[in-house]
Amino acid sequence: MSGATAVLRNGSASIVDALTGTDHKRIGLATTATAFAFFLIGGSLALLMRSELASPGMDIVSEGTYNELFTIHGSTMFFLFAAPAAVAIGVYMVPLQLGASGIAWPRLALLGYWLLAAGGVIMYAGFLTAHGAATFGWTAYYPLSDSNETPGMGADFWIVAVVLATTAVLLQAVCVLATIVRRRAPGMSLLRMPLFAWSEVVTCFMVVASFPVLIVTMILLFLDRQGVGIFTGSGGAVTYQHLFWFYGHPVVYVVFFPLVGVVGEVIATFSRRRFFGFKPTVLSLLVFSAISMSVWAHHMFTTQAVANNYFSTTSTLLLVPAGIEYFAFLATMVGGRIRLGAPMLFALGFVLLFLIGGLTGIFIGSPPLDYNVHDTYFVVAHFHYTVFGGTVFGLFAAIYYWFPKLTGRMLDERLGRLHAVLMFVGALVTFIPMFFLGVDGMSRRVADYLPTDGLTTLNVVATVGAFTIFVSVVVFLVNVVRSLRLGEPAGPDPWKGQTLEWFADSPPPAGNFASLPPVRSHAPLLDLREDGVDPAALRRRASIPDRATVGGAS
Amino acid sequence: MVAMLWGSFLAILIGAGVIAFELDVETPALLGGAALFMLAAGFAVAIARPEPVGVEVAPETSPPTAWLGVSLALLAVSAVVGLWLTWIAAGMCGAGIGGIIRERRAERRLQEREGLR
Repeated sequence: MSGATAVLRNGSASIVDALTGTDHKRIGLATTATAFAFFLIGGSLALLMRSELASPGMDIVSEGTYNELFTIHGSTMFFLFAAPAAVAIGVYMVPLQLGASGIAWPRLALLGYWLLAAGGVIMYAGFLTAHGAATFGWTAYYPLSDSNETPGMGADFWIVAVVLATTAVLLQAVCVLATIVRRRAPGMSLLRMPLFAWSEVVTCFMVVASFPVLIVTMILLFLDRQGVGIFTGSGGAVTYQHLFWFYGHPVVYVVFFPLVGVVGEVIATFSRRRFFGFKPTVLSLLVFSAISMSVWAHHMFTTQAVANNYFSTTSTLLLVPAGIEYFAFLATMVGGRIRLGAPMLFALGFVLLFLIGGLTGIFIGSPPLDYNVHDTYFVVAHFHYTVFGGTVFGLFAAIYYWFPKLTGRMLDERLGRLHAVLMFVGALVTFIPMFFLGVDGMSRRVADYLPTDGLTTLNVVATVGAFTIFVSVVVFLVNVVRSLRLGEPAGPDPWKGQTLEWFADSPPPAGNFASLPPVRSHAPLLDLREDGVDPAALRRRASIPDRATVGGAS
Repeated sequence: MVAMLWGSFLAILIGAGVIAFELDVETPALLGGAALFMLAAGFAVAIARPEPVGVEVAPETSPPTAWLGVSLALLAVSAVVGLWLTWIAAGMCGAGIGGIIRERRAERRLQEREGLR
């Protein structure tokens, strides 16, 4: 099941080594950091857009530039930030949680990192071309994306970048799956894998099933733009939408499920009890992910070219597994001794904000209601509650939870709580007004509106919220910089974690573990504590030669 | 097995759709294709030989892999920029692949020398 990894060392640790390292921790960290950098850039574009929309009239950018901004903002957030980060935290954490010494096929994962980084550079290089960056939105709907409507190299660069970034995530997902299949520690059966590892399983299933479709679609779109005439025939535009959304909807869950796993683990650890209903939750993740593969055409209700009743049914069916997961979260907290640390605050923010996204999803999963709000700010608000509330809050929960493991230092708790509160308030102030703007008829992707439209006040409120989010991110960056230098030493297990990564040193060394405790459930360290064994003491004993504990490094 | 189970879920979803709803061509093609792919992938993993237990040797860094990544990106960009970049990028890819082959040979030699194979 598992094989140990010996490392050929060259002894140095420069930036080049960090970016060419085959250790899964280096690859995962480099990918996550790069994705986070793109999040900051994409967020800056959003601030520009919100500033433009704060008042009627074109004040800051032109219409054309605004089109570039929303296209590259959405593309950055999905292709360069959320999907890569969702899989990259698996690249870092899954081997640790499984008690493995490394990831399977590390070169493939490293190749993925470089394809992502190059893809990002290429996408932004579009701004430097004669026609500017792509302007057709992150969906690149056909025929808006053909060479007549959107001429120029910027659009071609966008297509190349999407192919590269999507391939990058696909490669890393394959590595994570292979690690789960081949590298689990002795005793780590599938049902003893932690919730986060399971969430990566379903995420990677969705990646390998849907991402190749986008890669092929983008190649076809590129050929079409060269005059091959792929989508020009009757029904070509609808076929393009099918192909795009077969990726485009699953990716929303690809960027969500890993954070469900993170939030589940944070809630269990910070409630100081075992995760409630582990096996039903794993089953619900499998069912949830499968159903979420079958809902893509609810984005196409208004085309009148799809079976609306089928896709409305499957979309509504999603509520059942989602409800099971929410029930498990709440039941884990009930009766627990809850610590409201920064990771827990972000986890609670995730639960509350995604709930708003999920509940408003019922509205637009219903064709008659969707007809009324399709392509309005209602939809923008809905998906920002799922993607911002879900992915960004979940990702920050992961960062605050695992930062001590990654760096050996604690993040400042007061700044962390300030960050969580500001970001939560910012998310509400930014996106709640958008529901009302949508119902009032404000179309998405418009650069301007009239003073007489009555939309100014809500747009000002949304812009204030966006800058509140910006301030919260500044607080986070200050916290990271400060804590890397002055943070309290974390030790291997600052939270009294339940899973194997907390048995390793902080940061974990090459090879990850000197020894492993016995694995009897998805929470092996909690098992030890319940048996009256202190994992820290066991770890210290195990680090002394000839006194190795049960298990053994993989 | 899990992949096959998941592929079965997809098959059930599309089967129910075909039986109970009037679907277009694209829907069963896409979802059915994904179901078949996952079933086949799960089956392939289930019958694959287990990895031999032993020590796998990996280099701490792999500059040729990074080089190959950049080269592949340039190769893709060359589709936009022109054939001149295609030749350069293809040459770079060749150098990257050669570097990886060298690394793998070194790994095998080390494994044999240390008795790890």
